[in-house]
Amino acid sequence: MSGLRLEGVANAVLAPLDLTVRPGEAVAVLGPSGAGKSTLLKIVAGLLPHRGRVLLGGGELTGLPPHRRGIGYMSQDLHLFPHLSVANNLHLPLVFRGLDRAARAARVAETLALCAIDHRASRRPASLSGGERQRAALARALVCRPRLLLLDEPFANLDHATRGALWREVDALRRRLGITALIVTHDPAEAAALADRSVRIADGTLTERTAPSCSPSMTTPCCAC
Amino acid sequence: MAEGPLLDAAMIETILLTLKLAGVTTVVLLLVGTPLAWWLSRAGGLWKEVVATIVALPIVLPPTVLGFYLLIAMGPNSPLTAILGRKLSFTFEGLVVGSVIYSLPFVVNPIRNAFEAMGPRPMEVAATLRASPLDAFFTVALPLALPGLFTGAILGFAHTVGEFGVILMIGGGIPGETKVLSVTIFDYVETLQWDKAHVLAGGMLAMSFAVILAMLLVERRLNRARQ
Repeated sequence: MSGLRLEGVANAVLAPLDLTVRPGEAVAVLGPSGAGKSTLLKIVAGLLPHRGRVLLGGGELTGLPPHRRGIGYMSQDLHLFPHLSVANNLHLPLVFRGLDRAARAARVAETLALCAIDHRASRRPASLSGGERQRAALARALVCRPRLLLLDEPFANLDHATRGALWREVDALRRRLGITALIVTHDPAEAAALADRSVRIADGTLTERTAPSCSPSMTTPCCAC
Repeated sequence: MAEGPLLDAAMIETILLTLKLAGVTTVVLLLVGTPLAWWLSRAGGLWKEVVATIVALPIVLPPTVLGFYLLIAMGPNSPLTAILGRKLSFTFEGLVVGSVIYSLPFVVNPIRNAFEAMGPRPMEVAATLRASPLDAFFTVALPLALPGLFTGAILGFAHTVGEFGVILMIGGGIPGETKVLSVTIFDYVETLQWDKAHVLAGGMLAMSFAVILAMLLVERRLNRARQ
């Protein structure tokens, strides 16, 4: 398990900020729209230039291109590749990683089952329901067993019941795989369901650090309850 | 209508030469046009606009103007001839070069539009999935831009088949070497062989209709497959 450390990370949107996520811990980044939450995730993923340092498991990520960071990233718009089946969406990162065909097939089957989307393996993303697409995108983000998982408003487009079910499953799955996670959301209930603690960003500044708050709509108990 | 076979040997030779020119030109156009379209869809600044303008010039230039400059560039006293050691004017290779330049905007623009419509996100997502920029281009960008590539290839092929002015300027009408369909039809009309002109012109009309219809149907199928 790898911990994440941000030291003086900043760009045109974000004021310099420090943040530490312990190995295996999930931290939610809360804040209003336009506060810089997604910018922070893109910086960690290597998609935006920035000042300061990003360290993962003690190793320097700063300056590394995104494909060499060993990070899983799932955004709100998912971007499953429409020309590939669900299974082939998962095969692709393993091909880039250089796994042979047998190892790829085993890993894809295992990950599809973990995310309960194995029954849709041969379908194209366009034919899936909203919840199934979220599961497929999550499976793709996890298939390389990343050291760090970045979730950007992962379940924003789903109805309340489906979101609640997915929160429970994702939280259990992340803990089972021991993956460190940084989760962007504007929903305190989602932060409480998915994260061990939360921080808040407003106007590009990390203003507060809190334990996840309880909410009537929470679907899993949090540590403070 | 004159008696005899519908197509004589000279007409068949012309049709085959035209198809060979259009086929070779389309392959070269895709090889040159795809990276150019990618660069135009991603680059910024003044250079991009300058290059885009040069690519688009054949759309507005009279074919005779383009043909005139190409004739000079490929002629016996040009620097290009000195470098290559032989002139390209009035050769099949010269026709390919001229056709590529003349049809470039018809291939580059649909591919560029497809890349631009894709936006930056699929490439970013591919990068987070461990794809190097080259991997992402071949496994994500190209498949997503496939309808644009297909449209560009069809337009490039059809435009080359129908080309006349540039061909006449840089290739003349050497049978078996540069005498393509459009030039042959012009010759038949000039020598009042209207029956033969009808056969070739009618064939080109039918082929153009079939090509455009096929393009629209395949495009519709590709788009449906993704929805």
